[in-house]
Amino acid sequence: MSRGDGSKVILLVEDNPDDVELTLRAFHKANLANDVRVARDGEEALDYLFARGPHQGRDPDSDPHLVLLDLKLPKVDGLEVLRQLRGDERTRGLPVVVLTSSQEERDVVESYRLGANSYVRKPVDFHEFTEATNQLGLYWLVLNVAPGGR
Amino acid sequence: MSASDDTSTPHPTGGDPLSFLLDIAQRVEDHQQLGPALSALVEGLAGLQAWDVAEAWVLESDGQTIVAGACWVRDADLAAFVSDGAVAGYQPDRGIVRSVWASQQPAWLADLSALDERDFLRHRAAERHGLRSAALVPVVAGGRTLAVLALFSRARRDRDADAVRVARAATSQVAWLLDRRIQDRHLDETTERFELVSGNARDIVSVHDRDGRYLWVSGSCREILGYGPEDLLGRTPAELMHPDDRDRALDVIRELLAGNDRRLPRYRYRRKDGNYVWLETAARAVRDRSTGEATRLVASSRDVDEHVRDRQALEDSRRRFLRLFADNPLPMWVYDTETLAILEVNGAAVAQYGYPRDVFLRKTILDIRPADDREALLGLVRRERPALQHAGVWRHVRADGAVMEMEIDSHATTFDGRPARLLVARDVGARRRLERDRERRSAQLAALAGASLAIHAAGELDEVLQRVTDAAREVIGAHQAIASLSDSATGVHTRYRVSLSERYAAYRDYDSRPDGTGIYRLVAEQGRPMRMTQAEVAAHPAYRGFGADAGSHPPLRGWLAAPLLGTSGEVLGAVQVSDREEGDFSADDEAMLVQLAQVASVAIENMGLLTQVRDQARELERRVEARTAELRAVNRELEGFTYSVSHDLRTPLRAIDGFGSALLEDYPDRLDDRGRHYLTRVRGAAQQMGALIDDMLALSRVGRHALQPRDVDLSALAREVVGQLRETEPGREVEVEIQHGLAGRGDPTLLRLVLQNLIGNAWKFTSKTAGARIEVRGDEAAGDMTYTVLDNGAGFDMRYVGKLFRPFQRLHGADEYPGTGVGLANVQRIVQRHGGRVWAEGEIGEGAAFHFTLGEGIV
Repeated sequence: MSRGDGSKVILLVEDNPDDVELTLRAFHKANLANDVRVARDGEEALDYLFARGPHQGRDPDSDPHLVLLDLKLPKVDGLEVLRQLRGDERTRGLPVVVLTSSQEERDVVESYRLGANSYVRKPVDFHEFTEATNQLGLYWLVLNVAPGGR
Repeated sequence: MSASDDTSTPHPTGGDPLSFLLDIAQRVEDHQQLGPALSALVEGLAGLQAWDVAEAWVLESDGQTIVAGACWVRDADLAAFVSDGAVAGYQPDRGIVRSVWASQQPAWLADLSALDERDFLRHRAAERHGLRSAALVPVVAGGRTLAVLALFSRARRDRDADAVRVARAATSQVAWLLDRRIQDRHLDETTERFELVSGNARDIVSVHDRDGRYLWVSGSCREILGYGPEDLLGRTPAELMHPDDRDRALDVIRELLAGNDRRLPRYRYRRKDGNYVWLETAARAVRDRSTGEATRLVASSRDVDEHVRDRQALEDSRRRFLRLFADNPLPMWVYDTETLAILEVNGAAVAQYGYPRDVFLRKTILDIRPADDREALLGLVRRERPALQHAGVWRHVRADGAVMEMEIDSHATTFDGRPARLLVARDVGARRRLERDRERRSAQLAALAGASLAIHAAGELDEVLQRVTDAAREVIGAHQAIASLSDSATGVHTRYRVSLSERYAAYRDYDSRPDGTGIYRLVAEQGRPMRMTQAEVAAHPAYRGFGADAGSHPPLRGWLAAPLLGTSGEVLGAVQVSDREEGDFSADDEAMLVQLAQVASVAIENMGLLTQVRDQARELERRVEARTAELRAVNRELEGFTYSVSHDLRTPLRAIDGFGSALLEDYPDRLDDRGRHYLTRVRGAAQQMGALIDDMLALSRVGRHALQPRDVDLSALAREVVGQLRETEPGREVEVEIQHGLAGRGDPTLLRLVLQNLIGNAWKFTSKTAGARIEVRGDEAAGDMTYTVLDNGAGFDMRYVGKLFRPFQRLHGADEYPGTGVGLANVQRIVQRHGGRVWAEGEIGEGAAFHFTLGEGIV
């Protein structure tokens, strides 16, 4: 995870290492050069977001511009993370794309209710991902494209 | 008929003719009636002219017969002659009396023996009595003959003109008097005649000698005594008198002879027919003018029998009425209306009330009433009241304290000069009790009917028992009632309800469960009603005074109990009552309680069944709830499971597919064709498994999806589905025909899923058919719409139609037609949830038709 100047940080909240690796590969293949930080469970994600616990005093530049949030997480689940994230001034406007491995309507409805911005099927289907970020008008704002991009 | 006789002797002269005439006139004037006048005439003439027999013949009331109306004889021997004349007198148109009556001229018969029997009917009698001469003088008034005087003498007497003149003068005196009276009164002939003859038929005028023998008697004796004058002459009144009166009469006669005129008291005379008649007699003595000695008695006797009888009747009736009071079977008494003291009382009252007579007579009418009623009685007796009053029913107290219901009638009267009332009392207690019993019985029946309704309307067992006890108390009219259910083995009351009147208010909280040892146990054991007086209960060996609870149990007063019996005769419990409001429990009460017990038994049994049914329903409900909860839990588990499946199963698949894909993309030159082929197969298998998982999840979602039914345009929906299919496979050439305006009601999302599956299948299975054709249409039959999706594709073998709708069952190979075998299972679930059904027809190579309905209800 390189941390280039002005590179925009994406927080990937995902406990499955396979999915993490495949997601990072997808980013890489798409020549996206963002600094992707990975949180393995909900608690870690919240610690990172609110710069507390192990992440206390982290560099404010490492604030994420986008959160990719899996729902099924150890400790604190994705919906709870979303609820807390939306309940805090600092993170209220932070774009959140929910990663889903199912078509569970319940999850979709609940996620939107709690303020998720979009959905992307896991592992990150790039077609869907770019679609989602475009819809959010975030593509060029949040995504760093590597100079050698396609 | 004049006659002369040489052998005539000088007739005895009898006093002064003038004074005789005056005397006659006076007596006629005094009597004013023919009978007494004639009596005076014959007597006077006989005395004046010394005749031995003097008769006055008058017309009988029949107007035909001539009879001797008044007679005088010198001595008793001559009476027989007069009697013979009575027979002779009845000969019509014959005899000397008749001829004088007819000629109205006097006749002098100096020698009676010269006459034959044709002219002188008593020829032989006269000869026998030695009567030689006779003179006959008519009494004529207004041209009519009223009487003929017949005068006989033993001495032969020649015609004496002076004697005839005096006699005629005397008779004319009488005639004149009568004639005047007739004119005065203007009486008609018949009435006059009757009156003249029998005018004073109620008086008997008679003349007696010193011994009391009849010398002359007026004809009215015939009517009053039944004897004619001829029967009486020579006899004495004493012979006719009642033996009891005889001595008094003789005393009176002696007094009369001694010179005391007086009115005789009343005597009873025996009539010819044997009956007695009361006569009142006025009498005086006739005295010889010269010597002053009493020679004869003259009497006038009046029939007073009716007066006497009236008085006697009055006396008798008084006695009868007194007896009516004394011997009356109804209690009667007389009380003073001012002091209210009882003045007289009869035997029936003494007997029925039980007060001895002297005690009764010391009481007032207030004393024989209950204290509570005295005010009302005073109110009644102080009011103005009618003479006869029906005072209604009152309570009276007997000597033994018992209270009787008496119906009273009273009547105003006086008693010993005091204003009083006579009172009759009738005991109506029995009748009233009967009436009350009848009223009570019909009230009981009504109460029983009402109770029956109330009992059956009760919602639970305790309520049934309460209503039964309340009804038992009301219907029987008792102060205590208890209805109990008992354990058949121990007799212990399992449930019971008590009903107590105000009298037992202190025991309202009494609550001690009977232990099954009391007398009521017998009712349950024997299964029949029991009825006892308090004495019988207390003496009964099974009566144990309530054992440990004796102190707090309400005291019994008589006892009646009936068992509650089940339909098969088993004893459920008992209803008991005690302390009847009035008297002891009767057989009627027992019958009533048995009926109530029957009603109660049915209700209790019904209640048992009802409770059972309710309990069962409740149990079922409980089980359903439990099952439902279980199912919910299982469902939740299943949901969690499917969620896990969708998430966790897919994750490794994603890795397999993802890394396989990465291998193919990142290292294409390190794999030969075979390697790439294997990797492709790995990925294909992973994707197939992913599709299976997705379909499985879809199937479970259909089950959990909450239906939101609305009107759906199925034609439009079908067109959308077809449009999507054409987009997916733009190369396919399929002829699709969709009927316009197919409407249905259901959940749009799920209905879309149905059409996606059915049309999708048709699309898929026509992929190898030249001239593929799909049709979507609706057929309405009997108000139900049947939707059909028809194709001319691969079709299926109808032998396996049963497998079509089961999940994961496929009739075609996956390489032939891809699919998971879940689609039709989904269709069936959706259609069934809409209350419809789905079925299919098909033939291999000829295509398939899928039909479904949506039903009315949404399940």
